Amino acid sequence: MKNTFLLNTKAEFWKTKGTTAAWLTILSAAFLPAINVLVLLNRPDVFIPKIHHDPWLILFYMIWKSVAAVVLPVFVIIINNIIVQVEYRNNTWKQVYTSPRTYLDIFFSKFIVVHTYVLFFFILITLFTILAGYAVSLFYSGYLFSSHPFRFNAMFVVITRVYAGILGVTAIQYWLSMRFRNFTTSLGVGLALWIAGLLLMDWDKIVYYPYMYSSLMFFLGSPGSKGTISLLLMNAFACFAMAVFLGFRNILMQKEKG
Amino acid sequence: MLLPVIQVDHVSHRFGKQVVLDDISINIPAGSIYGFLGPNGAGKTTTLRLMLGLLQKQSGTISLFGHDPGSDRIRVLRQVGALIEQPSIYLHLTAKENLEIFRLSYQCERKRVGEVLSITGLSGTVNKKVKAFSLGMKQRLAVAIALLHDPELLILDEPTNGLDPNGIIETRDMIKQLNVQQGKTILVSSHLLSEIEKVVTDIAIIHKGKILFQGTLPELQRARSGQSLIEIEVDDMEKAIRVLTGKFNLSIIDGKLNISFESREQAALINAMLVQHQVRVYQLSVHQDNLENLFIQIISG
Repeated sequence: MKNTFLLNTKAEFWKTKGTTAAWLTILSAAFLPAINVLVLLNRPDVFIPKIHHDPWLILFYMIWKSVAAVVLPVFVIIINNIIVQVEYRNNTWKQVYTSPRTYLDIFFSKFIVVHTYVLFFFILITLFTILAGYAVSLFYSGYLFSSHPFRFNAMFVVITRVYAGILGVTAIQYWLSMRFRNFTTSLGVGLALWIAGLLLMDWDKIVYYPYMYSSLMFFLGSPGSKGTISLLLMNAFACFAMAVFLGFRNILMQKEKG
Repeated sequence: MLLPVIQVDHVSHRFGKQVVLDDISINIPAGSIYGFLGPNGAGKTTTLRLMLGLLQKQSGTISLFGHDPGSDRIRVLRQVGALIEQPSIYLHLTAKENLEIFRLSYQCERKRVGEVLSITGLSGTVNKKVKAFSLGMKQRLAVAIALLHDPELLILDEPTNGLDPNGIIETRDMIKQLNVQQGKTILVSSHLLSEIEKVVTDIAIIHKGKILFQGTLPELQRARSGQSLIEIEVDDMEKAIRVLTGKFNLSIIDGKLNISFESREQAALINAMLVQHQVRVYQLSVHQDNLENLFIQIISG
């Protein structure tokens, strides 16, 4: 049973070969480090004194404030669409559902692929952050990235929090992508919910709005931040569990499959 | 009588208020090539989807190999290969990659990929992207996927749909070959009547959600043999009528004698009687119903 699930998960990875999933992940991860390289190269007079005491962590925060609020939620919405649409576009759901696979297997093997791409995105953005630091050091010796230790532990804590924050969105978007044949539905609903969250950022109940959890997790402890780590983690995990349960139940109960 | 591989018993299905299947029952014997014939919208695909568990059953019972495809889904699907409507294949991948994906799901040996490619005549195209395939090749690849786990039963929904004449012949030959050489039971649905009669051993005709006929092909032809006619063209119609009246039921259509066909011997006897009475027979032909004619007669009541 366990082996079957692993083999089917491997098969799900194969299906993404040659799609835009890998390129989307690479480009999304490279986007903000590249922008920040340009910013640092353009204004060394401002940034050399500003980041000299802890360059890696400050660069990390410069990149991740936009990643957590904008790039990551949009990436999660689109990557879900790409991975699930492979079946709709090729008219293959019926072949999948007539294979000797349990519904649990079909649902979760693809969901693992989505999460692997999200984790791949995190790894890549960390690598691009390192590359960005060394790249600007080559042009301006005032940037002291080479002489400062890479702040892996501090970054890891923040990235883990942000990942916990985005879990709910991965589950909701996965459900929407599985549920609706027309990709514009899941894409449109996802983007609308995310934009609504941005507009509601000052709302005191925003800690119950999953599309903003990654952003709230990132800004925890900053002036004006909302909620506590325990409350946000509890909400994020509860939302994730509920969306996975309801999504799976909904797909399972569909009267027509494929 | 071979045991049925598929038993559909008093199954009805509706989409909203529209009744799509109305109390249908079908038995598909093991080792048969079973033609499921009906015009578009008759309920063929709905029946096949119910058999495969793609649709939730509303009433009646369905059993494949003695098991309910709803409650015993995995066990049933291990023995079934299916092609429902258009081919289900990943167009951005190669034929080999498509087969590898499903090989992992079916957990069969790697050598099966080469075997099914050879059976379906696709061995030379393994590394070609499927989006560059012709429809016939896509159809054959879909059959290859259905054959990967060497199932006992193949369910093929309109496998010749959209194919050119060559593709139709190739698919027909492949179906025969799979049945004869590998002993597979094959359920093949179609609205292409002329194609199905050349390949099936058994047949069911569905129309507006009802099964109108079920049995072997000879049974169907026998059931409607009264509809076949002997058409005779002679030099002296009045004399011919005098010779044959009282012995056969005659009618005259378009200046030709028409007699209900019973057997070839009857045709020979009629010819001999006319010749014996100096009636010149210019033409004597039997207009036997092919399945296409029978199908039209059956569905038009």
